[in-house]
Amino acid sequence: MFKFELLKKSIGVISLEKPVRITGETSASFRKWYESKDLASCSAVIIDGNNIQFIDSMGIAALISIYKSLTPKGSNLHLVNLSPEIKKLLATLRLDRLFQIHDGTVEEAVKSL
Amino acid sequence: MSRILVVDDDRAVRVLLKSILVKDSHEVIESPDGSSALLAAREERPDLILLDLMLPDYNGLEVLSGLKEDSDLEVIPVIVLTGSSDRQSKLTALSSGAVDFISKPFMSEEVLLRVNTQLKLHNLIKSLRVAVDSLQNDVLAAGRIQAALVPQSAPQGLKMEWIYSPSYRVGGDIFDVVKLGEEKFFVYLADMSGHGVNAAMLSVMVHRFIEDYRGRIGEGEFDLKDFMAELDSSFRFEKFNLFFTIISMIIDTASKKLLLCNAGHPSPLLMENGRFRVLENKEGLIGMNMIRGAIEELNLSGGDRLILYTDGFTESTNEDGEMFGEERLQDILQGCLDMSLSATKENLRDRFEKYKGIKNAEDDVSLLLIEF
Repeated sequence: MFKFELLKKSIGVISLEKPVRITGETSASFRKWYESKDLASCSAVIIDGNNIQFIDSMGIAALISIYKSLTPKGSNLHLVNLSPEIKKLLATLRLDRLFQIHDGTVEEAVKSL
Repeated sequence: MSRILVVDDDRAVRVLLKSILVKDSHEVIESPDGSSALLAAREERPDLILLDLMLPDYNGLEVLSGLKEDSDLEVIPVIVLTGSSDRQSKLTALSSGAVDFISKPFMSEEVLLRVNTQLKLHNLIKSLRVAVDSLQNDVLAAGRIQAALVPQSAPQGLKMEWIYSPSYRVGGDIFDVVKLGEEKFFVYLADMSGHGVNAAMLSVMVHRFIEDYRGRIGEGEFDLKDFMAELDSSFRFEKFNLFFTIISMIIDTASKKLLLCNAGHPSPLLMENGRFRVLENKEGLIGMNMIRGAIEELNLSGGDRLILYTDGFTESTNEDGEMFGEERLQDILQGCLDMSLSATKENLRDRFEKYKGIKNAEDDVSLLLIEF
């Protein structure tokens, strides 16, 4: 369900193959999945929100964990293509102060890095 | 070693099967017909049944459905014995609840392989069921502990009503009201990330922390800014990989002054003279070192109402998967302006339950109503 690609050798891009609600068990399996990837060694991680329909608090906790694994090395978590609802949720939690939220495409986000 | 019931009218077949199974150190009970098979199943409680489909009294399929209709016996795996050409009855037996079949004539290796595979599978299912039951009991116990922490009724001097219904699988909503002085109250509503025992335990810890904090300051001033900072440094995200959102408030009913700090929680609604104001939050979630001490100070008038809720309320869906939403909440509240606070709560609860339908709530649902 989750896809991981490495662009420009060190930029990790996470995307979803089909529309998914990241809740409950999906949040848990997302966590298990990304823990098997070496995200901490990426210079940046981009999550393509294109297929994320909804995300619950466990999903948010997973995003924070990714962010936490990146920041010690000065890397950051970037989110693109988010739905207005998810953007609003991140703003309510004030996580938009920590994560980099981009309005354009994945390619544009990569270029900006 | 397992106990196996062999049902076949042909004595030679029973003797052969018995010798195969006994050699593999299983215990064998024999039945020559359907009625004695059902009796033996009830009295001897075998671990597995080998059932011939051609019996003198009942059809083997009738015996099979007799077993499957009995709630005590339906878990016993049944392997049917059939003639090799009888494809239709094999299919019928499998769809009626048999777990496998053995065609006659059979080889002893095949009998043992099929029997032992089914016994192993059955034991796994049994232990899984026991594990799930005990987990469910733990979750229910965690839920009861959590529910015991929220107040039973509002303290004297504060007009407050609430809806608090933890989801069937236990979530992490918690709230409390503490009387700080004759006309001064501390109120909070918090929502832990995640569900289940993790979230319930964190909510209990947060509740405990707040009681300790209150004990520590004694008769001193309850400083909201200091409280939020301590909460933030005590519940670091990395400690449990969980976070929570919270609204904490100090209400002075005499001066009608409200101090409010919202850390990542859905924005409360304030109804002043029948008009809504959404109190946008100024702080982020707890545990990420984002708390800056932004306290909102509001001077209210008599009759003003404050509504706090967790996202479980607005994100609950109807049968079509549409969320309840903030707009609907506002519309209902608008229609309740002339009602008492308790009637408003009942009306909200009714409308919410009707919208959600009979399905279980995915998340905890909490809503607090306070009137000044």
